[in-house]
Amino acid sequence: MEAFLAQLTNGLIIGCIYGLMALGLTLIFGVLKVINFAHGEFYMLGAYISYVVSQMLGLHPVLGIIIAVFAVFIIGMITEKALLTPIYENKVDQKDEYALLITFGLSIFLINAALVVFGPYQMSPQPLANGVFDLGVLSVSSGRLYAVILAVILMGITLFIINKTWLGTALRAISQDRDSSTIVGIDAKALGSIAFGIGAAMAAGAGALLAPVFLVFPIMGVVPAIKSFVIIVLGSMGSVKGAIYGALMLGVIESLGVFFLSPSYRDAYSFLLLILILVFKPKGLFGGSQWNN
Amino acid sequence: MRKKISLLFVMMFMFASIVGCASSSSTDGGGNSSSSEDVIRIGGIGPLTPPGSPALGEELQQSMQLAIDEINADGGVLGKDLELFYEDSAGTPEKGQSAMEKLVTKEKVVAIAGEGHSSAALAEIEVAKRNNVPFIVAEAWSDSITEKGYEQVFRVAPNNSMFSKRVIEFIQEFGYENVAIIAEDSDWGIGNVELMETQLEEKGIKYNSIVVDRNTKDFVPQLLELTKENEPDILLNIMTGIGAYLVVKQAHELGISPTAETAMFMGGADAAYPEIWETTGEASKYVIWQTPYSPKADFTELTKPFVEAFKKEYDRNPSYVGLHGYDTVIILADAIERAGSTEPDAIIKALEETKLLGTRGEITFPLEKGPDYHNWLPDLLFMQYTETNQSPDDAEIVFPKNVSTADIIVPE
Repeated sequence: MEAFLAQLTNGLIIGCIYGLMALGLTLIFGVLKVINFAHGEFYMLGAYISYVVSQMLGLHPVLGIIIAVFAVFIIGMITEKALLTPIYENKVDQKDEYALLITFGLSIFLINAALVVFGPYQMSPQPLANGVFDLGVLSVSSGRLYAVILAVILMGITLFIINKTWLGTALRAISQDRDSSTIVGIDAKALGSIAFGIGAAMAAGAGALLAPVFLVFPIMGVVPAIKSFVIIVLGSMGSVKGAIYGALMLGVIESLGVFFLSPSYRDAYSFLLLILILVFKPKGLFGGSQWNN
Repeated sequence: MRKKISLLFVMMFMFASIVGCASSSSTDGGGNSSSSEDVIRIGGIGPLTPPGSPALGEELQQSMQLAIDEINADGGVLGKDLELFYEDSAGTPEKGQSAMEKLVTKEKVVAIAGEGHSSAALAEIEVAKRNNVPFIVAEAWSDSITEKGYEQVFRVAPNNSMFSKRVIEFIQEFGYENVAIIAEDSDWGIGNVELMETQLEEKGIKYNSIVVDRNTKDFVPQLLELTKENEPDILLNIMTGIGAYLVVKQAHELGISPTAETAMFMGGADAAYPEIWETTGEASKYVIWQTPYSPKADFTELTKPFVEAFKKEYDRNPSYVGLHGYDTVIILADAIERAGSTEPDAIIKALEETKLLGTRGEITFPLEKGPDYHNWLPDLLFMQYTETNQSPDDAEIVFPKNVSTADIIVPE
């Protein structure tokens, strides 16, 4: 029983972090109807920025995370402006394909840029804290614990923005109908950039938080990104609630698989679940793609 | 909606397959302006990008270049200079195979040496065999590489049977009675676990083991599973690259190992790289690891001069990978000299008759079929880090007893 609880706790911890990334991805999809294939690379970018700030410039690691989030927010906005604008100006015929390919290209570009700038070696920024925290059933490194707490706070802030602020209302309006929202005076173009920036910044936040735990290297974002895709399909693409529940579910299911089946195939369980969901409930567990459900 | 999902999957699939090659970059050692008439072209291959271990590939390249420069300064081979063409294998079969093809067909090298990952080496030896090019494997340990009995393939690294045999000898010597093994799902990892399990069973030593996905980054579930209602005497970390460091880090955070009750043994070469301290910090103090070389153990009269030359050229100490890389080149030069030609069959015949002092001992290649076919087996040293941020060269040799410098320290 104790071993089971320990696995479950670890699953929930990992789930919270997946949640932060998946929420960013679903936000971008919800507002822009674009699948951001470079999401894992924003995660990587966040990790490298926190590395540069805390290790090379010698500043406090918390500052590293904050700077990473803001820097990637700006980078995300610029990316959206530079690469995705053609979709809204009707310059491309195949909009979905264009968005996929352009973000996919961006992802390859960013991985190789990291390789050129930092080299292929794995690095680690200053951890937020040293030592170990005893949760009773499981001892967790304090770095990991802080990462989860901060991830939950970041998710909370995002949910607040979406549900309680004017910005959130406007974003939700765009997600429901881009054209109508423009008619009532919402600047969909500017808000689209902001949504992309927030989404990218969330991935960067997750990357910066996890950098000391899982190390920093150019292809670090690939597996987390694929997990995020699984989560948002699981929880219905574009659904905010779905992303959070989906992430926690993924964490729990992985630990259940480890406990009851075999620990060797941990990553396979989430994909198995995904296949089942796609076969039996192709729209995901939380309905359609409206994201205030 | 449905279209988007299916598109998403196509892209995910492409993404996964492209990332492996996205990070490709290849470097040629030395210029390639000279014509094939007046130089002998030697091929080098090794991982310069992940998922392979770039530190390993780079050191192979540097040590091979060093040997070639020395030989050229001494008048070359058969009156010609040697030239190195080094290709990136990324440690994967696909990339390794195409890098080999490029060396053989485009660069037209007469012999190839290198590689540090078994999965890649297993693909590469097929290319060597198909094109009849002599290939000395420098640092990949899977038994199958030499067990296949390809006459083109030689090896100067330990093979898995040797590695696992020495690990079990070590376990017996120190009386460990309950062994836990965490291993990566590579040929090297799986091969080792199987060999160790057989031997532990024969010796009647209790064990449990888990094989994990190399791309995983959270090993907490697996570590918890290994220690569930069980307190092993030693945890064998049979991983390479990032995984090896993360297992050390996470086992330390969980309070599993290294502790007074459970020692930690790192099987991968990564234990000897400087990154270990930045990535794992204090977790690696008391970790036991293996290496075929330590400056505290002097093997032959060539060892010190090589180490000095490497330090002078690259401003850091070589690990044993460097010695392996250096040896492959002097072996090839010696064989080509004795063969009197660069014909593959002549080189292979000369290689089989090798009797040469290397940096690690006198090198000969056994001809009896089996895992040791064409495989010269070096010594293996068991080391322990006794201080945080300790240089690998300052670590103590704890086994074998005839060269050991200290006893194992058990943490408080």
